[in-house]
Amino acid sequence: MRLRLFIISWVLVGLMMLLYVLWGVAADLVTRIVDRRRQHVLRVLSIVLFESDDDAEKVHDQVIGLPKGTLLGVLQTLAVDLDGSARQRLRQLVRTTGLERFIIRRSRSRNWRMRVQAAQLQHLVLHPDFDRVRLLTDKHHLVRARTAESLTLEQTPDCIDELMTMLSDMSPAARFAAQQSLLKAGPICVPKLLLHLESSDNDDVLQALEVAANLADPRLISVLDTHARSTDSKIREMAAKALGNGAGDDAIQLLHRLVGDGDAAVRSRAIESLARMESVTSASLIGCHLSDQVFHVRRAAGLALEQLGPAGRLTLRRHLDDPDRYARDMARQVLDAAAARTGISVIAPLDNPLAGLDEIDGYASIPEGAGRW
Amino acid sequence: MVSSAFDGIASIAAIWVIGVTLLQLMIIVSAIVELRRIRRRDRHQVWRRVLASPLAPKISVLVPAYNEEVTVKVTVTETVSSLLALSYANLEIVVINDGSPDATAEVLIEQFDLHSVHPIFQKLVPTADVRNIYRSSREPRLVLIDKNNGGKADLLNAGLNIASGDLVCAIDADTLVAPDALQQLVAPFITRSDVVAVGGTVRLANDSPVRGARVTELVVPKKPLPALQAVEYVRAFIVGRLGWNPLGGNLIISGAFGLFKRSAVLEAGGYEHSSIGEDMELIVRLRRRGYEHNQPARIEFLPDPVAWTEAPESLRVLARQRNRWQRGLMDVLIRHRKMIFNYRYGSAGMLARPFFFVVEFLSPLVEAVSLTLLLVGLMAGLVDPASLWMLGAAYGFGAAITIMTLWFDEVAFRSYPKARDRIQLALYAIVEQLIYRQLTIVWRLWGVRLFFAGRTEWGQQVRRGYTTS
Repeated sequence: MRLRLFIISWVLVGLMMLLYVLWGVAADLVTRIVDRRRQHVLRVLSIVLFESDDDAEKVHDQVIGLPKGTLLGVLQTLAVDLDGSARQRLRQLVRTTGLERFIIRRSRSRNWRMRVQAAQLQHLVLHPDFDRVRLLTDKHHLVRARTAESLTLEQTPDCIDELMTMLSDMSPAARFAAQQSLLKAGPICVPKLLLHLESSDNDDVLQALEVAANLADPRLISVLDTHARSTDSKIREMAAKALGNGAGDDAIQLLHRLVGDGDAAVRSRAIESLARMESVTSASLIGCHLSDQVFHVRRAAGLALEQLGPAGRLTLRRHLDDPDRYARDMARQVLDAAAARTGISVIAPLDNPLAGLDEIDGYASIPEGAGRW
Repeated sequence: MVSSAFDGIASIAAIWVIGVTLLQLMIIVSAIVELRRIRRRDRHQVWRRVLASPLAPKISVLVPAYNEEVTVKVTVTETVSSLLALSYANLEIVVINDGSPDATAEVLIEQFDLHSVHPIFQKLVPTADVRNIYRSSREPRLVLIDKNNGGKADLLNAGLNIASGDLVCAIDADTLVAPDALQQLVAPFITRSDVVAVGGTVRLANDSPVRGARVTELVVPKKPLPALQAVEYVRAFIVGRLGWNPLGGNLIISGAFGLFKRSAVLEAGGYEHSSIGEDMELIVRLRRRGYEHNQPARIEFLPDPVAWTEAPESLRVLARQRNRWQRGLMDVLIRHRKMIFNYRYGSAGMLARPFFFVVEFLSPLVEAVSLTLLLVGLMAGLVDPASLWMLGAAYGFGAAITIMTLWFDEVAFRSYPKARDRIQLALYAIVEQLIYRQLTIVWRLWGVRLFFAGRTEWGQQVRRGYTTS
């Protein structure tokens, strides 16, 4: 019995070895064939995409004869990076080779994996029968996400409503893809985004605000007042971030109010926005937050003052003898960091923090009330 | 009477080995199911474009450096260069010099043109004092922290304090990360909100050609010791972790390559200074906290994002590494003993912890005692020599299972493209059962002894550097 078990086990070892090695050899062979086929498809496609019209015409029959599966696989990886005339040629190729019908059929398939494949290639299909919106509202979240992700700039304006709806999608992947598409679309989506943000009862305000904050379009500032007063601190924080993209007294006033918010994340975000707006008149207000109770706010205040240039640096110097030791420490750290980075010391002696003010570049240009004394 | 007792011991040893082999078979089956699920899910998630977006979460990569002066130019420099070349938009690289007595910091400062900046950070988790922080004038994403010596956990905690990313990626000084690895690793954090840590695959790159800080082709190491470890890595670290994924018991994310939610790690108190297996301890603590605070804390392992590291090439260094791992395991098992067979901790308590206790902790003890008694019995003529067939059968099954995992690796990842390498690996799988397995038992027992002697030091790591071309 024991001997038999021993023999069985080692026969099993031999068998496993054989299978392992043979599988490897077979896989090598298959890989080689697939690679060769793929290389051929790529070669033909490169002529179609990048050579002259005549050359492209010459290989037309070859393109029709290419294996559909390999061609689709290559297109899926290739199409994402193509733009302009190359994309136009690819669209033409999809139309003439019958791939367009193939993709349309896949977009209606009951199998979600087929629909995902169609979603990835949807930007190559211009056929009127092709329903892009249906893919954007598909029941499977990956189909929705991949469609949103593959939308081109010219396709986005027609799909903005669906993308806005997707901002409240249950799936984080779909929400993320929709946000990304809106960002990619840029100013085109601002009017719709404005309307969307005006109806502040939406569940997806945070996602929309995140897009607004990253779009950096001054038109969006007008709707941020309501959100800056929201009871949700995350919404106020995002509103503070978005406000930093604007200009003018209204935005600065709103931010000044948010700098005094009860939530530390909102305060630090508002301070960062003021620095981004280069609001030198806010230097004193920001300086007050060098002694904030929360470290992140103190740090944001210090770095914001440094970012404000001469006015901010002056405020920092003034706080070198602040009665609050946290403010003193933060001011010194920021000035030290700046000195280390630039090689120019802007730190006055501790016993006389106001010494040598005139040596600071730009001191004369600092407006009254912006930390000048 | 004595003779039959010895025969019984031989049978118990064989049954134990076969039992452990069957458990490994269960893990392989689970790994196959899981790989199929992951591949079907992730095949359609190409985040390449999306992750070049301002919405992508910021990742801070923590690179530890201790006494790397001699090898710094071929290890840390390569690691940092490979990280700087990663195709991830929102990235920060934090190199932490843990008070090296040699000139590690100076070499890095010179290599990357670093300048001292005043540290502005909050000690959210306690660490040894930070002496200085440097930023590169050439590469704004690079930060060097120069701190007093405090050990691996301490330096990672310093990195956690200073890092500004939402996610932190802990790697080893000699880890080379694949160009798209971070993009893949970050995907679970975007698609799910309960994920706190994600681990990727670590492969051994000894003797594999490296070009531009990338492993261009994976080959079997020339020396037997790292080659045996390559077999072991496939079985334990790829198939093993993949197999534990659906069972909800993934309790290890390699210290060489793992991505964590920074806020979750900070809330849990960072890396534990007093633990020698700080990476495993952190994962177990995160899971435990999740159960205790009723906040799902999902730990995922993804097989496709790859990082490469170097395996020890000398017996002495390998022995040190393995006894340290054993001490780490024991430390975690004892520290979190409450979890074992406790239904409150779900699959982690009812399945994973008992498995680690039986297979990883008890197994070497049982195997060592049985083998010793068997040898003594054979020499004293108390054991029927036919018992050796049984033991041979057990090792045969072990080798078959290992080759099966290699086959699985071949089917799933095609990691070793050359047929010669695959044949070599299969042969090493047999050698592993007959020599290497016994050696690891000795090292583990050494670890047990040192653990009870209260030894917590790491021991010196010796690195050779990659084969650059």
